[in-house]
Amino acid sequence: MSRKNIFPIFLQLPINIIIFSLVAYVLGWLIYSVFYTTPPGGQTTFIGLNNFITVLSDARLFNAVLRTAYYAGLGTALEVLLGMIIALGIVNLVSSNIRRFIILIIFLIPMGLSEAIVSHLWLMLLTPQGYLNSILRYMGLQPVGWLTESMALNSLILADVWQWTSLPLLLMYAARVSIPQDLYDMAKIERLSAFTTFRVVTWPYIKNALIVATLLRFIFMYNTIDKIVLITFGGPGLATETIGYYIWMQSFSYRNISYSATLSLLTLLSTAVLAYVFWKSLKR
Amino acid sequence: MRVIRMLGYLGLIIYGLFILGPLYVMIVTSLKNINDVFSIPPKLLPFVDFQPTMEAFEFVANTRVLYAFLTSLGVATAATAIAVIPSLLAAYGFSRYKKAAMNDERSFFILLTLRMTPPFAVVLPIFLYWNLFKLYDTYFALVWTYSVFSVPLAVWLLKGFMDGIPLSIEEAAKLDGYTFMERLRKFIIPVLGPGIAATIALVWLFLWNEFLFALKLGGSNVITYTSYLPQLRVGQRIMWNVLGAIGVLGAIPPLIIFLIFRKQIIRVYLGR
Amino acid sequence: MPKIRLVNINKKYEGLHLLKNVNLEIPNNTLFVILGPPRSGKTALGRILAGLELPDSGSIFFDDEDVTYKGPNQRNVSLVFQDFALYPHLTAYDNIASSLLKSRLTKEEIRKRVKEFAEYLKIDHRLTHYPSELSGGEKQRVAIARALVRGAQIIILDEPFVRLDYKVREDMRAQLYRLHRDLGVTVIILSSDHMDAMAFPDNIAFMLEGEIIQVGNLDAMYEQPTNLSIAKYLGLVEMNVFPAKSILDLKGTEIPRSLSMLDGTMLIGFRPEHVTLHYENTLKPDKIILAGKVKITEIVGSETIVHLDAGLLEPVKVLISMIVRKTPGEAVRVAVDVKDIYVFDAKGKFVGRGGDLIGGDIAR
Repeated sequence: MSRKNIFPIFLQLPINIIIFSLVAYVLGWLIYSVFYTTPPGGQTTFIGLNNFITVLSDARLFNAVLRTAYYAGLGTALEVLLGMIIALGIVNLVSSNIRRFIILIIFLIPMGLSEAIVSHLWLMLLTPQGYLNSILRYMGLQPVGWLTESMALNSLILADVWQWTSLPLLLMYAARVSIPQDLYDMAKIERLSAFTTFRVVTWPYIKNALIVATLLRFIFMYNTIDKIVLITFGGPGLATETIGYYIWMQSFSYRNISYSATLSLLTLLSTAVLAYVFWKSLKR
Repeated sequence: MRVIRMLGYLGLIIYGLFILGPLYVMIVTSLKNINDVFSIPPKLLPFVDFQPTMEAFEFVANTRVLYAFLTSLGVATAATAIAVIPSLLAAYGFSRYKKAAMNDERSFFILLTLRMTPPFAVVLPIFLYWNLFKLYDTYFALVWTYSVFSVPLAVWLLKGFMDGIPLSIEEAAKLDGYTFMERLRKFIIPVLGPGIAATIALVWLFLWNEFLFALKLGGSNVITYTSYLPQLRVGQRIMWNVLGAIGVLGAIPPLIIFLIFRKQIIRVYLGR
Repeated sequence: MPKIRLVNINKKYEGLHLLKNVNLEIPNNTLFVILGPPRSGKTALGRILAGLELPDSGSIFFDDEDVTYKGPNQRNVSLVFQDFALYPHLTAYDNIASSLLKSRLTKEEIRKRVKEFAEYLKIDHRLTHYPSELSGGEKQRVAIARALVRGAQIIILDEPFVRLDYKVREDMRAQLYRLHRDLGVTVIILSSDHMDAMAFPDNIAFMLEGEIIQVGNLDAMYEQPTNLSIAKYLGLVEMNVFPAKSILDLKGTEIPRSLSMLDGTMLIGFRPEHVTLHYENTLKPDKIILAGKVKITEIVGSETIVHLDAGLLEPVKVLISMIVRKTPGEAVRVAVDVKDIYVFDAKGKFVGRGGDLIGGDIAR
């Protein structure tokens, strides 16, 4: 269709208008704010690379990065592993399609809820006088400090695992179900052990779903601060402050516009890198 | 072997209880009087441990919460409606004109990057942007922002569905003499049907559940059921039962969507 | 049924030169087969003919009218796709009627036309069904009806039989022939199946790597192929081809003197159906006699293919038109008439038949 060169461009114009109306300003503002600052009641001044120097010496940021790595890393690992085990469990132990379907729908519900709802739900469970501790006390056990400095981040991971394990679960379930039964019959004929069968038949198919699930969940946990905003407020102290929450604090609590813009810009760059990795993995 | 199977079943059941437990707690809490919410031993059985009451739901019906739900409904629907047709056109371009300018892989990658942008990195600039136009705390600001963020998801999903339709069907329609708009209307959209419906549903759901932008771009006028939630925690007494009620009500649309579009949703994941 | 003329058609796609200066004339009202292996450019040519794509250069004339830049529906051409491309959300009736909805016919007239063609193609009893409910053969007939109902004078079918069962293919071939004869439309079949050439032997164009190598009837291509590829393509069992040198150097065989005049780099080909089992012991001046051991015997239907290890690079294939049982390892002698031989140069270009050799027309 050599003479219709311009037509495809028209197809892209509408969304470009929509997106551009916001993105242009956002990017422009971010870049501007990194290099210029307007202190309240003061003059707009050019501050050059000051922000970047601050970034390099920001210990609080460094800790936030570590916490984010832990939060997103452990959370993703647990969700993907658990998702895989449950998915394979369903396939191997539940034969009726109807039952499988009902089970999947039930497991799907947490994913469909708003992060805001799930946050408050888990607040109900985790708060010192909340349900988890009530049950523990009722059973005669010691209550746990779910939201104390040492436990808070892990409790958030728990809440996230509850909500999002189903995503890797679904992806790997679909991958597993797409494997032709013939391969498993062959494995049975050749008397392969369960482990070998997994390694030779199941794994090659599931591997891709696993990679996609891992990247998706990691990026998502990196990006989402809803639970932190609503359950722990970054605390106690700084115990649950991830990069995202730190930027949130800089933006709206401390109002360090210029610095927050710097951090945001750096985050966007790292997002682009992560997106690239995701893109490459999808092309397999 | 039997032992492993038994353990497996046990594992599944434990996981099932893990998932259902909190959901049950949420439902039960929504039926409690505010004083019954937390106690030792925990009151978890209606009629046995406590008298169920509808006061939480009454609160929802009689206060701004109802208004918040309606706002969520309106805003999500409006933004989805705005985003759908442009996204359909763009998805068509990405699917059928992979070599053309602005339709190639690199452009699609840019869209992907947009989808993966963390909200926390852009909330402040967007907030300032709307402030500039004196559109802070207006429906327009929230709806438009939602539309912008819906587009990448919608295009992603629609392109996936579009790729599944053989090009020959469109060419047959071209041979039969139909123009592009006619082909779109009479052949592509009907065949794409369930895919478009699923996309609309998933995008709507994403917006229905959104929290961060609703919190910062709305104010006293524009409140969604998600941005209302923090207001229940002002002061010493947190209205847990209302929290539960809002959770239950907020969970209804996702449930309906999952039940209606189960086949397409599974296909979206299977297609990967 | 206009006369079609393709002049210097060129088409590149993603760096590949799909069509290289294609020139072709298709007389009006013919049943024409464009034959060639996959990726030879047949589909590209068909699409350009139908108006779905523009050539990079060149022109298309229908009866002296330049239609190169005319859209598909201005051109009176219909294309039936390889996957039939039926609209899944419409019934068979609506599929067939779809092109007529854009015309100025009344609903009644449309009904009449659709019924007419549906009856002719024997699918009128399935008109209310959806494509997913139809069999492969039925789907194709709906696709053909859809193409015909527009009143197109030229119908192109892209690999029409590839998705059909073996038995259904035979029926459809007969159907296509009847269609061409009854309706007087030009039918162009794009095919990679030599059986289609054998079913419609009168007008064939052979395409290879974007070029038209030979045009003619099946006999001409069978007897005087311009190219080794064509020679190998046509024929129930692929032709035996060996470098002349390897045959001339063979021990224990009898090579007629006329053969020894060939350049060793030339290629000698002979068809399995022209090879006979040789039981006599006398010399024959005009036969090549090869001796060897049987490797495999294949019984196909009511014929036998014997693979003979005669000391050449590959086994010699012998096609015998009855059932013969030979044991592997059995010593056998076969004979090929020099008249039946095909001679090609080292690049595969046709030089002559064995008869030309004897007449002294081919020499070093």
